Amino acid sequence: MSLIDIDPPGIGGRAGSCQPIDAVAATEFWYGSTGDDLAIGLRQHGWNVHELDIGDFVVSGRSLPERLLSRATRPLTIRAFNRAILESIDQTNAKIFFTVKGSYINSDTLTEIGKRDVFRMVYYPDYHFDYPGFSESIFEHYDLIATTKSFQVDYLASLVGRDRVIFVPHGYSTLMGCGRRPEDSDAFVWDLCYIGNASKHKLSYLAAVADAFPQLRMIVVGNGWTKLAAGTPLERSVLGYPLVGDFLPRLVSRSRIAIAIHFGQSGAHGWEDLVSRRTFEIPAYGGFMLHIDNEEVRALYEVPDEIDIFSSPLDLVEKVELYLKSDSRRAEMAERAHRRAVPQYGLLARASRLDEEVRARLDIAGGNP
Amino acid sequence: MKPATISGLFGDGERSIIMPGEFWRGATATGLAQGLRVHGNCVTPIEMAGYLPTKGNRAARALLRLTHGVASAAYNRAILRLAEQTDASLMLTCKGNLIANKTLKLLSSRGTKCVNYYPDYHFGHPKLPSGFLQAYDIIVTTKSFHVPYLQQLLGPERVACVPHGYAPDVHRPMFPVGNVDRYLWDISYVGIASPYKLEWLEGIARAFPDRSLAIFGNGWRAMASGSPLAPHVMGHSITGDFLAKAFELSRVNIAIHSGVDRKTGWRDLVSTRTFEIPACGGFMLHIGNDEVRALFDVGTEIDVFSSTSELNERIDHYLRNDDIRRSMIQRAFRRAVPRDSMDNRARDLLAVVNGRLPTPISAG
Repeated sequence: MSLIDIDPPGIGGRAGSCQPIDAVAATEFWYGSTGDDLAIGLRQHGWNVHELDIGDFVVSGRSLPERLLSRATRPLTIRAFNRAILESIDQTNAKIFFTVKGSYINSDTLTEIGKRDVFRMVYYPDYHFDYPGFSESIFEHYDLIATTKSFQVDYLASLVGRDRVIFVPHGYSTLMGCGRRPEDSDAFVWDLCYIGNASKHKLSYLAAVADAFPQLRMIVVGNGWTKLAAGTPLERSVLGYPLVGDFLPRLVSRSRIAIAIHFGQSGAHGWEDLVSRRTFEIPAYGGFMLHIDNEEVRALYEVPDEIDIFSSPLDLVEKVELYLKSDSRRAEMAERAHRRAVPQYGLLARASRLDEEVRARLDIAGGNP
Repeated sequence: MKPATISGLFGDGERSIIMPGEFWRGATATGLAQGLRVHGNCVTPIEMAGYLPTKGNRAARALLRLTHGVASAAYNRAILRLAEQTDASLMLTCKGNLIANKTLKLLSSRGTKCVNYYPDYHFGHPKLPSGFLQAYDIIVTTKSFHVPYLQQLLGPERVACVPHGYAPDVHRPMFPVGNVDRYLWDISYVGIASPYKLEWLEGIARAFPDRSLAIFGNGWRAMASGSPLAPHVMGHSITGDFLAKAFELSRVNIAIHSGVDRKTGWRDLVSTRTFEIPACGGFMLHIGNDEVRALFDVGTEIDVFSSTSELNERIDHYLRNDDIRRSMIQRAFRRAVPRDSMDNRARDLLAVVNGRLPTPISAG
């Protein structure tokens, strides 16, 4: 695996001709998370970002005692998290506050941040709003909402006004680097991989493939599959747990085909994902992508020169059969998709967009980082 | 047909490494993990704070202390689970807080080698179990003075020394090196409070009443209360980008360490600051010793001091001679970057590990 290099600043400094921006960010910062990558991208544009990781405040284990402990301490830890946000803003004299999603950040905290004349920005990465510690009413407290979902723009604009909403899509994680497809076709570990949490909608597609190709070397990685796939043809392909971080590019680049399919309809608005991080990660990590069909993915990639699409389980089965027959065709398509995605579909590029937006709105000088 | 497995994902010379520890921005573990990735490894961090939160108000922390045993057990279970799930050939930790000796034994029994990259100048910490040094396959210490002790305890083949370093993505200058237009402070110190440091820093506060002096770090409010240093205490710690900013935007950065450990008689010679300050484009006045003199050219890259009067004389000299100070910043930066990066420390650590604990042949 090779890493995408982030240019070291060298003797010239990382701000270049940009006016530095001091910011506080409160979200999750685990390796490969959207928060981590956006912060890295913003630093490339002369931002100093003080990170407040919600994971440092709350207990997050999965066993019963841990969940009980988490629940018992949650009111206290959430209060501490919100207080730490205000303290950090005061200590760093930050002019920008940003978060990804913004779970557990309450309206009082955002109001207090606003009183300090600090610009408040949220990057919203999910296709619905029904999460613990989150409420739609919180959006009115942000000065800028960047949603990753095109279908949310009009709705959010109706809540807070058009001028406070922008569409900034997902991107691939630069830190996780590019996978490299093996030159020797025998070096592929799997014929097909799927990485993502389980849903019935996904199962209908993946089980059809497993049923059609009993000898296929297939791996399904993510939460919830063991239970959902039990008794189906997919069962033998289920790893049984998620793999994150550095594993993603390795899994994708060492599989002949990587499938991109989303959860299906969910949430109060009945929305459904069109594209997700995988849409950008699979080509960036050197994988060959078969993506569920929709207009948005067709606008991002040339179909079928760079990726191919499917619109039913049967269609997916036919495409898998077609592409497994030709290593060279897949390799050429993956190479073209990779060139399309890197660097323009990365979270570094998304951070550039956010930097431009903030500098324009606050009249802060930009320049060449 | 065989159920899904990831065995076979790692070819010759590639390692799956689990890293339990603390991964805040600028932490040794974070920098080391990134360095290991640069050298082609697959690293899975296991964040201790997820099981035993490190931040929060007093009430939450008190409640969590009561349930420390539950949290610690969950953390150790997660280490074992993730070693299994990621097919880890190596468990690498920095210090190893809360990692039980039994966990290390179980990791060994599944073929996962255990290495501790030890960043502190003594071994007496409450979150470290007794006998932990013997439970690791290799101890890689950052302190040269640990080596004879550890070699006697564990045998030479289980001990190595790889110094601290700076994290390239954190400790870096914002402005052209040595060309800061507007400084925020004349003199700065960043670090946890100790009586030994207080003596040095009080001397500065007395000698330079008209200069801006900033003291960052935990514990200073109580320790400096009523002393000449009190007005200069910022009252909080500083990490990550804002640490780099403080180093770069202070005319003079003081590098001193905690005093002598009463039990062992050990005292720090160099620390992470020794490498971070020059890498951030900061000017460094470091407490004098042979180790720092071997790392930097004293008088042309950094300067050193060995008494309060000498420290104050040096501060005065460099505050009056801006051109000399700026040219020394540039030379120290060129010396340290990239020589002392955590990427290079990761390379050196891997050389130790690969030489002594070869990668098992992939089962795939």
